[in-house]
Amino acid sequence: MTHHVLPGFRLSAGYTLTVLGSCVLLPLAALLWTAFELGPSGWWAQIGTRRVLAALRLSFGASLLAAIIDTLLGLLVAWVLVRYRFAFRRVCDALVDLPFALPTAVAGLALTALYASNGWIGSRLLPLGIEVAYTRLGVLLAMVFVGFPFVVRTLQPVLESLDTDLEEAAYTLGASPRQRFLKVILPLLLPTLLTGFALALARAVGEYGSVIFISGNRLFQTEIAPYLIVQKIESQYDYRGAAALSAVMLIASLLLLIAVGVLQRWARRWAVIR
Amino acid sequence: MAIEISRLRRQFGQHVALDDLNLTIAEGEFVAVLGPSGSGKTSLLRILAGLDHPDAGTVEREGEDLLALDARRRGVGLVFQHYALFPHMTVAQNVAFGLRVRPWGLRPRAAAIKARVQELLKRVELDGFAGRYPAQLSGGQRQRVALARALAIEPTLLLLDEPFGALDAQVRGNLRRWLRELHRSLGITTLFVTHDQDEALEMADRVVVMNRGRIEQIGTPEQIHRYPATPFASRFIARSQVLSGYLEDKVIHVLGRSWPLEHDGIDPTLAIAVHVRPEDIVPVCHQDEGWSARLLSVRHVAGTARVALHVSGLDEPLDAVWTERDWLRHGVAVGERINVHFQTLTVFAEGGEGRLHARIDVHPPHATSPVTVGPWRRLEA
Repeated sequence: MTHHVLPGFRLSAGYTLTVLGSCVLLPLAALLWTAFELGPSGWWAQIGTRRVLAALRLSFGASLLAAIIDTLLGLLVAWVLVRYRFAFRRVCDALVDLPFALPTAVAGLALTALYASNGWIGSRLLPLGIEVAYTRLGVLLAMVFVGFPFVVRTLQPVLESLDTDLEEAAYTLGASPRQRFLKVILPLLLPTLLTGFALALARAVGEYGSVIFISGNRLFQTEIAPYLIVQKIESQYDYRGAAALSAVMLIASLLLLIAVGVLQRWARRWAVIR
Repeated sequence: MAIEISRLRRQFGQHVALDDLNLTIAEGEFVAVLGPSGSGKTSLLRILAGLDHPDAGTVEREGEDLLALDARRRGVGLVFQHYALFPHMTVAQNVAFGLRVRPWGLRPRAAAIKARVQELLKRVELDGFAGRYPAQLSGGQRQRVALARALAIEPTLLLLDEPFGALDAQVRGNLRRWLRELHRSLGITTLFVTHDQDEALEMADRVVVMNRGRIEQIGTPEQIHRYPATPFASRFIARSQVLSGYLEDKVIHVLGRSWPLEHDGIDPTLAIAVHVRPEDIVPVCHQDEGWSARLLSVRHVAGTARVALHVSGLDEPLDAVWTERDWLRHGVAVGERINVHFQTLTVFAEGGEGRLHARIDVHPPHATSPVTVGPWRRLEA
């Protein structure tokens, strides 16, 4: 009988299931239950409106795009932080966590102040024909901002433990810098990049506070789905409508995460356990 | 191809990793660089592979300046201690890597690469493993894949960095013999870095003993083992131990016995170091012969008795290696007294005239012939 650090399997498993059940599954089940009370036609009446569809499209479209941008940006930042030694590296490293720590409303206000047409950056972008605040670009910006640390923080430990022997082996075998990155480093980082992508995506889909400030919540244009859910409850006391929309988001998010998980398994197919 | 290394120097801050190193490796030779960690052997390997650059010195391959070539174009195969296989590639993809990354025009056709990979896997006795991932292989198999991968680029120089360091003893022994055979059939000039004396002496045509960035001795395994040229080589290769001794009026005194010095012109105040090898400390029968010692411990390893002795007049215990037969005949209980004899002593001296050494053949105590000393041999700086 092997010795376990935690007391017995039954106790720890029971604990796990209780916590998971009461904190995660039960609320989600209640949500789905409320949504199902509407029936198919009632559900479609809630979801099929132009306003809701536009919001869902924006929420998921912008989130996917933001997660992709975060992944590329995060890879770059993690690479620089791990592979180079420069002045204020530790300060830069600490700054990465800021979007984690900042209340999202504060982030939203700060971004809005910067990117509004009279803001410090916004006023300079305006002559170029680029408007950020109160546009979909602003929504994207806020989502990129909040999702970015996830990619950096998941990638950093993996990059640090990446064996430089591998790059040197590739080098002596004749690989160019580009080949060493594309054929050796990137495939090894791919599973972690996908994890970071999934986390950034989840965060962007669920983001509320920072987005509603910079988006301006313009009808059909910059309303995100979480905003509509809050609206339904606050102004119409429409719990079922809110639940119906929530259920759609829940299922869509779940499918996205499953898809990423499948991709991850594929990207790690070489890490077989004998 | 022949490699000529001259005045190679590499310094990391205050630490001198390579101190004006000179070494010539003949075409097709199998050379082992032997030294403790920090002796500079890995620095030498990395410079030859192109992963590091010396502060001064040259490396030529058949007259061509090797250091001017980027590691990519050097045609030097490197095998790492921890294999450094690409974990996300199959065995076949790993072996093919060096061929696949070649620029257009130099890259063989897919069919040719496949054939070459097949041939190499056969060579390292891994045909049938082409589709496996490194995680599915044992340590010995991984190291053979790493070797096949390095051989795929048809290197003119093969470098092995402690290639068996991470393997267990049984696998290591088999791989040593196998690699020796492989080298014989391929004839690639090979430089092999290790801190394991047995490995170096067993495998190499020639052994280079390194210490603190300098070469202490170069020679065949037999020369190195029988005639270690420096105190370091003597301790490191032959596992010699130091006895207290001194030089006075041209007489060498060691543990109450003395030998006249047969050499003029030796500074009589020279400080000397007297070394004895574990296998040269042998038990004797008679109580009045040799030196008196107390048995501290005995372990039976690989057909030998490894004995720890406390010899009167010495602070440190001495290790001796006896045959089991000697042990059966002379062995005593731990703590009991036993008489031992030093068969051969090596004396090293360092003074105004440079480094000298001499061997003292101490004849069996009951023999009538006199003991012989030296002659003193001058050592190269």
